[in-house]
Amino acid sequence: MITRFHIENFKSLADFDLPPEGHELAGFTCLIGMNGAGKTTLLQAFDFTAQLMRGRVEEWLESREWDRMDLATNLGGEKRPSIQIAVDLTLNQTTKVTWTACYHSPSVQCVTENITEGDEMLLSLVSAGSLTVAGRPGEPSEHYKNVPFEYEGSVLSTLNLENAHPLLNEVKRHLISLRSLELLAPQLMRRSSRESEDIGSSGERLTGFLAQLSVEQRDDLRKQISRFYPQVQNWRIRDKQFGWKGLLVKESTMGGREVTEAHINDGFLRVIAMLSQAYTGSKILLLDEVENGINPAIADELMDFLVSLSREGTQVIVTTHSPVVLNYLEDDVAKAGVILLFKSPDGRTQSRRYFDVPENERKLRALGPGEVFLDTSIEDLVSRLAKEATPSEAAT
Amino acid sequence: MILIVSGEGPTDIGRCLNAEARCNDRNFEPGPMATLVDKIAEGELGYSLTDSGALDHVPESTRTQMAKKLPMTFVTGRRRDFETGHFFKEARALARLAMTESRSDGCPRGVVLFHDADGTRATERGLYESRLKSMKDGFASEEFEFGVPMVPKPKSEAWLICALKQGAYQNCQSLETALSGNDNSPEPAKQQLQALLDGMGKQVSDLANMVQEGTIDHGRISMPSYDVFKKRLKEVLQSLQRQPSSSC
Repeated sequence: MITRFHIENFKSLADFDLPPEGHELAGFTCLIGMNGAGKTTLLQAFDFTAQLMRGRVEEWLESREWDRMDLATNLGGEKRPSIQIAVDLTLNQTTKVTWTACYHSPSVQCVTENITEGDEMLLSLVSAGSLTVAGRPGEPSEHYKNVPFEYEGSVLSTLNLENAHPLLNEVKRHLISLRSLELLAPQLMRRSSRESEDIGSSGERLTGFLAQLSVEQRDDLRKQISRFYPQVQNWRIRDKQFGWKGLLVKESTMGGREVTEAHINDGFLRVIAMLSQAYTGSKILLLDEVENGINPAIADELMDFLVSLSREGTQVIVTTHSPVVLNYLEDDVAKAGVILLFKSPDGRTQSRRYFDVPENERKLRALGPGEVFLDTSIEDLVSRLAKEATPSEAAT
Repeated sequence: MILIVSGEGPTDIGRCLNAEARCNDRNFEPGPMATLVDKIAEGELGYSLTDSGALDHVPESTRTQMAKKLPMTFVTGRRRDFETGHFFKEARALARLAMTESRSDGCPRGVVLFHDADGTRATERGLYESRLKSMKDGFASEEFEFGVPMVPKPKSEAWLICALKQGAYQNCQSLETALSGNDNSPEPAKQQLQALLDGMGKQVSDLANMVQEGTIDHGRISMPSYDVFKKRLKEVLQSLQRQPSSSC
């Protein structure tokens, strides 16, 4: 799992740490904050990291209709071309590895990269192009005066890791498996699609993903869905022409008739998209505004599902504006995982563990996490934290 | 009748001398505010609740745990201010406790819920009014008629200073605004009270006894937040007296 994520010069994340210094990121993280505080930007930064590892930055930028330099922080001065990233990972529950990179926007690639395990350097790319890759334990490192191939994003995206230190592949796989569903769109989920290993960032390949699940996985998913929607008696994939897949859902409230994907409600599609992530092998799952389209009555089931997913090894990071969603979190999960994002007066996104704020921690003794959220003026809190974040300005 | 008192700790309502979630009688060490409640009650009823074992104490930790177990409440909105949710739910929790126990043993119970009106920097606007209202709303939401908010403005020391300072009755009202409840401010209420106590060779730990003995004369306190509390406490005591209470 990712225990620390640092990024500089990525949109409003000018110099940003998640979580704040002195803490480690929890298995379940819930980002809150006012609109425009940087929650979605942070999910984009995570997604960007996955694209660096995939080596598909250009494609990713195009899909969002962004230019190369659109990623850079724009706080009034001249945009800088480099984005710095540092990610601390704990792999296999014990091994601590750090990946740092300097991504150069105009060339769409990382010009420097380091991967270390403690003091041991596993990979080093310096700006002159020299690359050192640690071999398997007991075997020598490989040195290249210049990177011997073209690459986009991280050098790991293209590097042959067959004879390299196994942790390098672990880091790559871990970050590649990061799934960001920050654009889930029911109208796209209704589309037919061909078989796919993931549902796509907007859920546009949902039917194709469901189609390739094993019989056991589909049975399990049916059971999970019945916790949320007892009225759903069954769902199945229907084969269409040329390998396209559609979705049929049988609901007791529809007289036991099957309805096609065109008539399935938004909430159901979002829930099945989220539940299906249990079968992707993703190490990190990101969901924006998790409550969208979800009836508050099933919010507790959803939070139970996401928290249990995080306990089973998939790190879960969600954003929410919903006190109902927050209120279903256990206090210890909320204390470790609810993080407030806010902007300092100069527009930089900052983070603070919400229940580290003394009055919020105190209120949590008598109130649920969502009630504390409701009971606290977020405008006042953010304004105070923003002043604390810039003490020199506050003093003047 | 039984009066359940609950506050913030030993320096206001008091503390349990045992490790139980509730205490009364010899296991309850009343602080100055509980003693104040008892003195007012004694004047009204003609007997001391403490001496008759009728003052029950619910520590803060018990109260907050009870509040937390209540179903989620939309603690703020058009009808309630920010920063009042826990007062509302704590009042509800104590009201439920009092009503459940009264139904069970037939002895009528009132509740005094104490909180200072001061707050952190973030939350100092209109705190007294909103805390008072949220407690009243909490009691009312349980249809509980015997709830008493005890909210000194800005904090309990102001009431005690009013009783101790020369020329009591005069200018006590100004203590509500002149005294800072924030203990980090240059002249906090605690320091001013300490200065008065120093002059008498007394300590903070003596306050409850001083109220009990009359060195701190509750009759000398006259300030709006105290008057509101005292009036309500008397009303509730009178109402409780009118309740059938054969089993107390």
